[in-house]
Amino acid sequence: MLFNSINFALFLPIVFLLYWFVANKDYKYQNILLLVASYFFYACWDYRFLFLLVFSTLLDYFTGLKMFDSKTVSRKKFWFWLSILVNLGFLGFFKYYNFFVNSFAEALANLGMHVEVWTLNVILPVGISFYTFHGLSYVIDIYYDRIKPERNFIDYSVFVSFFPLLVAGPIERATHLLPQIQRERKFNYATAVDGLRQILWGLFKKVVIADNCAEYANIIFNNSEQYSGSTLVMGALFFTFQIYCDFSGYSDIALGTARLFGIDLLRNFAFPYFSRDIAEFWRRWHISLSTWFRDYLYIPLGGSQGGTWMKVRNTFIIFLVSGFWHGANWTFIIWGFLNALYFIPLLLAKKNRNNIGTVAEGNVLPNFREFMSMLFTFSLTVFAWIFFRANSLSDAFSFIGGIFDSSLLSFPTVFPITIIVLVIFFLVIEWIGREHQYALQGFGIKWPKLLRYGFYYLIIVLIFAFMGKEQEFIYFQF
Amino acid sequence: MKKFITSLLWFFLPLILVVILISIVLKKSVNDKVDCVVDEKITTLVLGHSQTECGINDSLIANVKNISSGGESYFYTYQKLKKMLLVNKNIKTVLVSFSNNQTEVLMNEWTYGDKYLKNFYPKYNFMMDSDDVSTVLKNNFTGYISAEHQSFLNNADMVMKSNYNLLSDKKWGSYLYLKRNKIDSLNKTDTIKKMLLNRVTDYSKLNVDYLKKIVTLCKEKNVKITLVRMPLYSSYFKTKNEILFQRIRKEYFSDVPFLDFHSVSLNDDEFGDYDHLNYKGAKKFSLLLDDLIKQGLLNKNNPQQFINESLSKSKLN
Repeated sequence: MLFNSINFALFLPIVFLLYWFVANKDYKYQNILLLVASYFFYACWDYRFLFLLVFSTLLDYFTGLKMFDSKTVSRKKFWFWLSILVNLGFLGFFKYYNFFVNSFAEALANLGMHVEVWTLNVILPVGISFYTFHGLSYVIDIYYDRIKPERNFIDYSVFVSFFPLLVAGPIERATHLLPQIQRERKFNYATAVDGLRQILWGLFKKVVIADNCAEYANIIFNNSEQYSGSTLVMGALFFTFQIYCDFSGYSDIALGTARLFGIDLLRNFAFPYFSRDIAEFWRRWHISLSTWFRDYLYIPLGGSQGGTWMKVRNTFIIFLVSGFWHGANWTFIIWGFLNALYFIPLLLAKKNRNNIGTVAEGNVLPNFREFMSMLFTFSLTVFAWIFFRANSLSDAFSFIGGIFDSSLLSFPTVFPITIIVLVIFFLVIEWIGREHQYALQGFGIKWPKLLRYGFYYLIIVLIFAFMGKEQEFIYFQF
Repeated sequence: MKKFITSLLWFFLPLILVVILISIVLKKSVNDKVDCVVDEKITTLVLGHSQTECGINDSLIANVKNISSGGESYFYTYQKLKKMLLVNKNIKTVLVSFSNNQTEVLMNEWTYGDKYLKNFYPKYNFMMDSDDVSTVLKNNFTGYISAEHQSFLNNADMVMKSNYNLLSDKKWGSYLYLKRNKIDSLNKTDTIKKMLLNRVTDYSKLNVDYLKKIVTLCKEKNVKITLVRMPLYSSYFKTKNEILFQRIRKEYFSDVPFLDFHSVSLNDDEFGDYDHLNYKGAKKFSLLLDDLIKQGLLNKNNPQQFINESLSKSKLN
């Protein structure tokens, strides 16, 4: 069930009404309802993988309890590693098996040895990377005595399977979400309206910007040899906006939906394309994943506490793993590697925390220096996205080769004016709203009601007019 | 909570009302202006799905216009025919494709399955009556909403561009020049074996009902209707449930002339695949049909006997 589908438009109000009108006697009933709704939501994709989700939930629930109740360290370690290995085993099996087998066979072929490989023809269970990471953080936190295990299985299951975040995050932490599940939730008018506004903006980003940019990005990337350098740049830009609006749009819908149920999820995006350096970009892009890797990988590895070599090594590890998390393809790994290369000079020069606040805070426009920094960071990001989007490394290199050609100075042959105007409109709204949680949060709040409603109607009309070229959310595949 | 629900209703109600109002205005506007007038010389229309679409080259047959459309069920053919007969008084005869697969239960999917709804519903939405709409609505609610949404956009586009030429733009179907020839490659697979194992036993009541509606409509308009079964590859034909097909034909359409060309002998390279003629087959078949029509096929008391005799003379059976 996609967020931008009629099925979801029917599903959400039904669950909402049941939640606040039927199950509102006790939060425990609300949790049962959320769990049933979440499993139904997940089963709409493929009910067979529901068993995997339930198994993963059971595994982490029981290993969490067993670890906590263990009398000896070795016993605790046993349950910990059991959970880690089974979780990563499933992830590896479904997501990386073919990649490793093919890469191994290719490596042997390069040495002159030809082997028959046996690859799996299995579909990747939707959201496996997300709910596995949910479970891992829970188990790791218990192991290091940061939290106590949840004894109520329903509450724990809702934490793992809450439908707004189930298939594409944000990747939640037990310390943040579980307490909200364990207490009574009161309906709050302002929060619910804010949630709806966030859903509206998320839908706009997904349906109007991402899906339309996707059409052009796909055409250009899939036929890159036919296009001029300037058109290839347009293709890279279209993908840059596609991936941001697709994923942050999904996150906005997820966060807005959760708010309708009185639950706050972790913020996932904070206007990353207005970043002044790559370190700031990574504090603003897919925040729940970046902080996950920081807390469960980077810091345990020593973080930036050790010497220069250790800092560099840890930075490379975290970015390469982050790339690999996105998918079993060398293109993602190179994307991660490039970002590490961008990041390391800032780290070594101790400038990675220079830009903490919002750009041009309190001002209408940025100053020249800020503008140039944003432009430079954005260009680096666009370049890295080429690897992320390309079907293979050779495609990425030929795409880049095609850009740096005399045709770079020609007028692009693909220049859809309507979409470009919409992207500019989107950027203006994002810029105005950059000091809020999401762009529309404070936009027009002080306007007369009629004018504000008029603006919301305009957004709805745009969504209505552009809906139809439905594309699946990119992050469902990760 | 009460305030929230009330605010929500006040916010969405005007929007929904305006959308419904504009939708009605657009449908009426398109229905009034849609251009589906054929040349005055055209007296015969060919309708149906991909078999007639690929198999009847109307440029080779005098006074015939082929507006068949691949994947079209009788539900949509009925809508199209209703409008065509209303604005084209010169149409005296209608040939409608009637093949085995058009009786099969699969036709329900062709009528209200998501993919088909999205493709066909917007082309005919503006002239559907409430019964037709409720047929779709009760079988696929979410698909209906998507299809209405797409129809709204299509209608708005037509009105804004003042382009109502559905026939000349081939949006309602036409002869399709099919170049491919997949018989050899298909014969190397086990397609026929699989089809034999999965022989259809259920029929589509909905599709049969709409064919009945087509027949009734033609009778009301005093237009002669004839059902046509196109040439089929012999091993493919054997996979079809002929008993079911004949039972439906005799039970519901015994009074409608039926031209059965399924056994016309054509070479392998004249088929695009098992149940579609390619351009070579279409040429041969269309010339044959043209010849038969000129000899008065459509006015014969026993047209099938006439076809069989003609085929044996031309060694095409």
